[in-house]
Amino acid sequence: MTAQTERTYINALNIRKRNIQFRPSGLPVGVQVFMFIMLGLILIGGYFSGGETVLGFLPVPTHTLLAQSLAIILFAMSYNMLLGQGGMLSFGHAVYYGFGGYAVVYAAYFFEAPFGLQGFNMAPFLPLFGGLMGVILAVIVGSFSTRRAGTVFAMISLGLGQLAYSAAAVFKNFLGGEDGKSFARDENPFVIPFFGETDIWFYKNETIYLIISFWFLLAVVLIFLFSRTPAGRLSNAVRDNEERVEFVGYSMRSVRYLVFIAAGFFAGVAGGMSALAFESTTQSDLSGFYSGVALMAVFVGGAGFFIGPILGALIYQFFAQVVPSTLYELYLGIIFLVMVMFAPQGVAGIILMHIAFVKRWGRLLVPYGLVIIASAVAIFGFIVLAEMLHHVQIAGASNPKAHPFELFSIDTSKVVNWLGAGAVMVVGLVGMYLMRKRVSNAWDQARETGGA
Amino acid sequence: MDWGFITVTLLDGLARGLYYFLVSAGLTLIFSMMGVLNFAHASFFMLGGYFAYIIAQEWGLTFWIALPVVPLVVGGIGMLVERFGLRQVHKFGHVAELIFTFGLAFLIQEFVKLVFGNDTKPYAVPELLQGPLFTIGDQTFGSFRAFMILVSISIFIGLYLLLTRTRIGMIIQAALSHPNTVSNLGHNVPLIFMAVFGVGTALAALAGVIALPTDALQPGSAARLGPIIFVIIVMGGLGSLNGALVASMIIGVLTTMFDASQLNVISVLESITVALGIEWELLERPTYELRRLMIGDLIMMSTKQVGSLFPYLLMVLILIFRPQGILGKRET
Repeated sequence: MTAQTERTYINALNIRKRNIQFRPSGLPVGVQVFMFIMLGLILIGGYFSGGETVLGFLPVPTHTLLAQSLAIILFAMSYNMLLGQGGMLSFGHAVYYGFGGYAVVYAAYFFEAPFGLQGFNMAPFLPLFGGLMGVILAVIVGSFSTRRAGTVFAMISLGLGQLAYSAAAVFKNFLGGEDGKSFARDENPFVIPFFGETDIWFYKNETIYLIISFWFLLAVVLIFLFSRTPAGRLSNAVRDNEERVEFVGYSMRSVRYLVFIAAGFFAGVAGGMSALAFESTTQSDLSGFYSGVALMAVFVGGAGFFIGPILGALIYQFFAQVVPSTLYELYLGIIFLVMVMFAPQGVAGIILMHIAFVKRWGRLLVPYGLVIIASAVAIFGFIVLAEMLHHVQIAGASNPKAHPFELFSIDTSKVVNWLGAGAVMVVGLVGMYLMRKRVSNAWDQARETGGA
Repeated sequence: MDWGFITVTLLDGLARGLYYFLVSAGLTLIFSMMGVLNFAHASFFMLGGYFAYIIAQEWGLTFWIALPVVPLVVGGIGMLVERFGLRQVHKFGHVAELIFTFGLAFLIQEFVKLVFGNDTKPYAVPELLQGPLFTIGDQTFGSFRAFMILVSISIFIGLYLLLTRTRIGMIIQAALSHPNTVSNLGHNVPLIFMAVFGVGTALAALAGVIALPTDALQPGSAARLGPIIFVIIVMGGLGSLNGALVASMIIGVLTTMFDASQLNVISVLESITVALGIEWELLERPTYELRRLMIGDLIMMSTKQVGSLFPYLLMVLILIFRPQGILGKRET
């Protein structure tokens, strides 16, 4: 009996589909709770140290930037629910992020003075309106796009992403064109009904940061709990073998639909958080590029791992905000492609592979060290070449001095420098190639001798 | 009715549709082979344009040298990508392959930005093909567009004959549907796949050489064309060459018409209300007032703006109601 006929047989018998359950199971309390408490402490630490220098040498980004980073991390985590847990490859996830932001801007308009609840400021609850928008869109879109995973789902998401992006340019009054929509946060103090004025001011960025960290922490805990419920486990099963899930008696479509709605909700909340921090949402927030950012963050960090999107989003933010180069997208793209080709399990996957035999790390030390040195040489050569090329492109012949990463200056008018940088890169690449065998041997040894 | 305008717009649309077909034909062949959409396909189209720009403008050689050389070069690059990129990723599954091509498209765009800069490159039509071929009324049809049509049709006929009338074509067709059997018969299937990938990317590059003089050559060219090509092959039916041809023509002619016509929604609504003898208070208001209304976005929409939205709407609707497309047989 083929799979198809077996399925029609089951349908003909009218066997009732099992209901999806939500009760969390197998929650090891100790470590996980500790992890979230640590995360909370880090977030609170960000409140006190935002925009300052910690320990005399470590600069902490401003509160707005920290809040935006939290939004991107949450966005990547919601994308991980789709791709990592549910196996749905989306090229238009930024639609929920962007429209979540628009919803927050419109909610802020609506709760201004004339409609306000007697001066009750809605700022702390604004991200939820983004989530609401995300859910509404996901319920509509998911009703037809989650019927199939794979190419059809990917193409529908791509089409809708392009549609939303083009629509933002066409509907200038409603979505504000390229500039997007902006609002201003309330200048008045927060008033609690029957209690009176407080010393909480929403125009201050640190207050907004604290609000956003609260929602972020709540969302992260919820995503974690969801991944451990039977429903979350089922979504992994649908990703791995949807046919078998049907035979067990669950509907793969409703599992996907559920995950899709949840991901839409968290993406909307993330977009709302970003809109609240920046007081605006722009067309680029729902662009295909932004969907690509989520895909890259999840894949580089490690799709399917809880920690993966967090790592990936931090790597993205590091390149976008910290790396002193306008070519960061190029470097990110190379890292992304190298990861897809050689380490599709992502950074989190690589770490987990090594945790299994902590005691035998000594054997990996020398070959890893050599490879790291060789790749550092290759990367250095490539960066110098790319920055020189970029400098020639923007500055022309009049100003031949390029400053790769603002570390040193190099004369682009001398052929020797080009050849030298190229040679450094080639030497590094050859070194990496020669080291290949040694690393894989050491890896096999370290893994096998313990019977792990 | 302005017949000159309609004829010229239709012919322009035909030229555009045919170059869409050059790109989507390669993508369809590659899809039939790998079972995966090649996200980077439009990037090879853009690379074709940039290489032709180097050869024809920067090196001072002519367009006529670029026309045969560029597809060969880009086809070679495509074969390298298949051999050392896709084949490496293949063992991780379809999703990884799709993500690989997505990353490749992103990277090619970044490299083009690095090497050529963000600005639009002046990539002119060769002198021989400048000027109009004929004029109807006040509408002119450029001879370069006629050349585009000529090249595309001859390539299409050549491809058709190659695939259906030659031994190599038979082997390729067999390898697309039954790779294992063909392999057991002693043919080198990986080599065939590499060659098909190379031919597909070469077709895209050829389209880039002949199309980008009429379009803007910039790092965003690939990102602009890519989604349209996906609309076409989804509409025609994934893996169906004839479907891709039909859909290319439909999308090419429709987008050209939307771009060329000067209509907007309000003028259409006005003529309808006049024809039916209805009075609608909203339409009587002055334009500047309408522009400020939320509904003004919708009413003041020009056909050009409608044209920027409808291909994607069409694709989503087709995927919902007829996922196999117009002529496709398989659902993915």
